[in-house]
Amino acid sequence: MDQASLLLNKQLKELTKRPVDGFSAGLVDDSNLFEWQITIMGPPDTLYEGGFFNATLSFPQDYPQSPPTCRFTSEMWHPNVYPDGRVCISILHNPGDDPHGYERASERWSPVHTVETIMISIISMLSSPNDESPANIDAAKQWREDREGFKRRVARVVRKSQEML
Amino acid sequence: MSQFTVHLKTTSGGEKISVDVKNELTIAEVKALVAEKSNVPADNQRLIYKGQVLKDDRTVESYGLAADHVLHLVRARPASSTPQPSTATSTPATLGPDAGLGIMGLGGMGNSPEMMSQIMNSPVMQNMMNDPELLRNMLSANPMVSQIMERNPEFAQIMNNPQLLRESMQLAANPALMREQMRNTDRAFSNIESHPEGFNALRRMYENIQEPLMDAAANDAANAAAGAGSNPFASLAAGVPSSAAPAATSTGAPTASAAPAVPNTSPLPNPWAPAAGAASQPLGGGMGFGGGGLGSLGGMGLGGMGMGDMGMGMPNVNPNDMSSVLQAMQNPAMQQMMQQMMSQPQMMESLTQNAVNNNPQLRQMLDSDPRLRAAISDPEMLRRSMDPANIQAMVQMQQAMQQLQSSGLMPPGPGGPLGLGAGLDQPPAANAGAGAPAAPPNFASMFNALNVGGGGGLGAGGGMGLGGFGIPAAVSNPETAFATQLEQLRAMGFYDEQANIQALQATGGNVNAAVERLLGS
Repeated sequence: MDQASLLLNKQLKELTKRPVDGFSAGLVDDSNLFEWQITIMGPPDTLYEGGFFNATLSFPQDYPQSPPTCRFTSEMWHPNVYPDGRVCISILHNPGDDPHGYERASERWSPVHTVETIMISIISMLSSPNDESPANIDAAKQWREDREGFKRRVARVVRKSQEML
Repeated sequence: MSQFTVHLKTTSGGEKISVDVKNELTIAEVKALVAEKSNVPADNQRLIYKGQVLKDDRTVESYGLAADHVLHLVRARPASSTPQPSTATSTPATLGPDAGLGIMGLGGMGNSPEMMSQIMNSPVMQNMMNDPELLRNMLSANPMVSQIMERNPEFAQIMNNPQLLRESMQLAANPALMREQMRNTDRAFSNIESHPEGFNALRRMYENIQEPLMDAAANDAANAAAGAGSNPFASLAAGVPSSAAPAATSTGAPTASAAPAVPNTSPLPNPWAPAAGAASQPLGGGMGFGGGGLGSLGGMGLGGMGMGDMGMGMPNVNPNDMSSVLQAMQNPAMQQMMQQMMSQPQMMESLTQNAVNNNPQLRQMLDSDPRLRAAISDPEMLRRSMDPANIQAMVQMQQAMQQLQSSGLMPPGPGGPLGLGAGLDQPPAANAGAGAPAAPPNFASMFNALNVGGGGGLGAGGGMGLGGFGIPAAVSNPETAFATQLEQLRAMGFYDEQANIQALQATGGNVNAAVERLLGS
């Protein structure tokens, strides 16, 4: 097995035996270690509380040298999530590319990140949107200018995620 | 079909629930079993496993559940509840842990989370962290803090919650988490501000909690004089955490003639101050550590409150504060800490080594007197010099001398060394003083020299030397030196500490190389 598979396999075993609060992770297809499915439990005391959001994590073959991509498959309304579900957080960006020109290299991808640390970052992103790097312009604008509307919109997303069960 | 056990982890952090299931059971049947063992009705249960919410009509087997696997159990909320962001509505009454931490002074530590982590990972701190009682005692030892606690039950709650305390400590031990937490806190505060009522809430919080805290801190800071740097609250108040320490050290500019004829309330000028600055630099003068040991704790905001009174946060011990030193020495927590420190000869040695390296004056002193070097590198000697009884004796001598000086019996300043030299032969630590070329006019400076240099934090040092503790430990002790890297390796799933350390040592702390090595071997 290559390094990527070894690492991912190790993490999978670990997360199955000792899951981490806030999310649950497994493989989309048991024969492919590079495609993960995640359920994020909306973090308590945030707008997203009570929701169950599904996401996928796709690892490149050269993980951990390069970051995986994370995409919500559930509907999501958040300044840092593109309308197509892709998550935009600095630690998932290669140190080389900086689409927004504001991130420090230290905030970007580093090979020490694991499914767990990535998911914790994403959960923390849910509780505190970063409107400096809006991936969803409309959501960011609403977050800034119409907080009540934003809350209602998120509440709808949460309800939908519950109905999907 | 055979039966096996799976476990359910609840989000509320309670204990795990275990149920025996069979492959052909449906999820609905499993939920019924779970309902018997928990107080969550089957209808309210959501079972989540391997990234999916389990559906009632499917079987255990279809999800590939196996023995000892762990599922998440989430209690589904009634649809009517509208989740409220706690941050936006935060008032003093609903102080969340986030806000609590923020107030507690994490902010001051922001400059160097890694440093913090190293300190937090040192065995002594670890030990302290594992003893919430001790922490709490240290806090409640400060009358002002306990006053605040009385007036603000919420705050008391935070303080009395060992888990929260421990969590905040652990948080500090992990640079990544800490940075995240600080970012969150900042964000939370800006959220609060943008909320119409939020600003008022913040203001109230400031008035009710932060101001008294700062008062307490400022008081401590006044007591500890140049120790201001070690007090996160003081730095907070100054608004420029990073500049506090240098400023503090510079106030102690060396003026040998200043040995006062009468006891005064301001701290004695400290001839060793520059050295003090030098010694604390590597630790991160910017962090406002000063030479102040429990500054590490102080970073947690705990120290800031507990410290002053315990004398722990006083990098520069001035004679007027000797009583607090004594007090500190009487404190069981302190004694325990010192004992622990003393029982590790290596630690002590590296401390001394470090002190010498960082303090040119001390080195000069050592070079000029081989006896002193021997004394300092003798752990037994150091241990004895740390003996509370001996320190007490020294303090008494110091006080006596002051008395003499003030009554004119003994000339201040220049005359000091003579008297000193004579007096110094008694306590074991005397060698240190006797060997000092231009013996400082008072014991306090001697304390400082040793303490700040971290030379075991003689006397005044002890626990206070803790701050200095982090560095030497980092140098001599791979577990501490590579704390961050070890943490990273653990996070990547390498749990064999010894192997990790070996790999890190072999690769000079390069995590990537260490991973290659671990996977290769």
